[in-house]
Amino acid sequence: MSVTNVIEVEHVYKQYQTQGLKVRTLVQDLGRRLRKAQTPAPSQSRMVLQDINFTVKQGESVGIIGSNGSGKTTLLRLLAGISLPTKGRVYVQGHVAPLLALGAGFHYELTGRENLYLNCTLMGLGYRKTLQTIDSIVEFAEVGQYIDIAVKRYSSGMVARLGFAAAIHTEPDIILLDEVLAVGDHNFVVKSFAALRKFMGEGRTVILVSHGLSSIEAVCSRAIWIEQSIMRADGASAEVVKQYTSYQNQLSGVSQSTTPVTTATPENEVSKRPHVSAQRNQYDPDVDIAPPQVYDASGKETSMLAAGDTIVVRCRAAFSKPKNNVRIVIGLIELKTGTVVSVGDNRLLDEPDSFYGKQVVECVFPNVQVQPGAFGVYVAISSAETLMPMLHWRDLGARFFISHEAGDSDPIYADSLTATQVTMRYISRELSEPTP
Amino acid sequence: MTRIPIYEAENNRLNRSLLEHLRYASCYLAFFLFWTRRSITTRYSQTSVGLLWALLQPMLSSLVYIIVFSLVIRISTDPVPYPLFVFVSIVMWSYFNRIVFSGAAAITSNLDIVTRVQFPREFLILSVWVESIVDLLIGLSIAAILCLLYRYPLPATLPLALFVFVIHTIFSLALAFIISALNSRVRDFMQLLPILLQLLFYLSPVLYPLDLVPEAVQGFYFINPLGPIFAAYQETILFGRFTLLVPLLVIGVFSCVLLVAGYKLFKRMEWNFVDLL
Repeated sequence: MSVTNVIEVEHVYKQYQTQGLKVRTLVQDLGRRLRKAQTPAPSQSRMVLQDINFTVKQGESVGIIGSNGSGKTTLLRLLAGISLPTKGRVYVQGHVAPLLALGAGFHYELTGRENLYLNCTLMGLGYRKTLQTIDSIVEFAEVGQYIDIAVKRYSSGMVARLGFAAAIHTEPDIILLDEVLAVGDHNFVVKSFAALRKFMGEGRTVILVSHGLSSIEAVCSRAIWIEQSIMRADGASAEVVKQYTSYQNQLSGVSQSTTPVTTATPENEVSKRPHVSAQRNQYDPDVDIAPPQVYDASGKETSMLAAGDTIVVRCRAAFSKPKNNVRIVIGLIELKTGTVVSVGDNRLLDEPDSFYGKQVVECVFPNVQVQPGAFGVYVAISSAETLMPMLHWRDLGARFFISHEAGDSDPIYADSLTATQVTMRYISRELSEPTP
Repeated sequence: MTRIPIYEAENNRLNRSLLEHLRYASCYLAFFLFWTRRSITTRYSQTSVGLLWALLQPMLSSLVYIIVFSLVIRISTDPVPYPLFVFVSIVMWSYFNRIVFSGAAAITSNLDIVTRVQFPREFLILSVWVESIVDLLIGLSIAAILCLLYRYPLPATLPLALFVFVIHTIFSLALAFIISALNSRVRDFMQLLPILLQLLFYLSPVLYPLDLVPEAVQGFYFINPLGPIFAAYQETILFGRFTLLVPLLVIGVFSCVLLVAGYKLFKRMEWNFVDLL
């Protein structure tokens, strides 16, 4: 079955009249005409988008990144059908739910419930369907009794919750999100991402604008980078985010050697996994690792887990020279606080701790009870003899999310999880010299 | 769920015919229903006197004219009592005035949703129209009470007023669309509008019957579509005559053309609201 294009953008330009920004008035117009009919008003205009081309297939999830003022929001407005392209063609098929700003489409004088009526009907839902949908939205948004209070009394987080809940429940074919997840609290962000994944699983399309590169990577398989109204890159989100961050680093003038390296480029590349920005400090040139991967108990690679789940972290390391007495520590970082909540250590293994060639080390964190949120992986490789570090890897963005869903078994809180409960093992060891 | 038509915009233009615009709008009837119901309930529930305002407004403004034109400058509307005459006219005028003025302002007063969601914006104007019908019905019930008080029997031509009403409505909506479209480009048009409307108010037979206008000038009253419309209201509702069929038919055809043109202009210009704000 061929997948249809739900969005087509061809040679799109968008121009704003800067004089238009302060609205022409009749008096000014007449004045200008009378003064000199020959010289036309200096028409200053600003190109906000230039020659943008891309297509999005049904079920794709595309992230849009770029510096402030680069035209991302304008592009979403064109896709939402709120504004017309000055030149070029925009084609959109299906219901679009635009969440273009905080409280998109909300009337601040109306109560939450009235706003939901408004929102659902604005999405083209029929009257009966609207009534059915509203209950599930209220439940998802968790705004409680506030639902019957005017939206102007809501906190920004509540507005965001309600807006997102409404957008995702009105069964749009395409959802456009502009930084709307940034204000929600931790639980809600996790819940939203889970809802987004489910939404994508139903073959719907997501366009996400965000400065949170990790959420782009977590949600989108593909990313488009727009810089100063021009499209700079379109491709796998890991690749595009990489280009964008190195561009940003150049701009901020930080020398490349000392910046947190956002790329994981073991020459022998081990993984094609979407990549999360991370800090990688390499102290020993002979040691390198690929971005760690996260699996669930069944061995499926994932980025969504629930509290109480077993988390399996797998790390591929490459040693280009033999190293003895190597200590490997793999930990989980709670990104909100930046603390390492649980670690596994190879000291407890009975196997020799000398390495050469490609290694795959796996760490199993059973029944992890933590506050729901975004998590990263921490890997430290050092010499047990000299205590000198060889390589540190620390995820700066979310490699996986833990949602709130307590199991029946007694919780073991992550901070009390001892190294004996976390098991580490070598999946594959290559002790011979690696073939080039 | 009704399927939304494909959205295809090219070179600053939306590729949609008039019929497709209407089909697109038909997907949003539930929105229209909700939006109108909400506007009506907030209008009559938020102010302290609520519904009373709708009753008071035409009564108070009529009172001014009744005092001026039946006590100071006498206008004869025999056999109709002048207060009754003025009240009916004022109620019909407020209907027109509200559609044109509030209708034209409907987009700019709802920018919150206009700039953030795609939907048929003409419904904002149409919901103002429904609101004005509610006001009109309230006004007409007061007029009926006045008739009882004056023991003035309503003539048999009354049902014909409905025909005038349809033409009146089409004309008002056409103006609302056109003015709203102009308003998207030239914002201070809204400052000029009340003055223009007031001028039109005195140049139409609202406060006086058409018969009182000197013959030499009467011709001009037929250039203004509101002239025959208001004269016809007075004839059918109060005087029990119906002499203006031909001018009304001409105005009816003209209004229909104007409505289609105005709607198309509005659909073309509505994009300016978003970009200029």
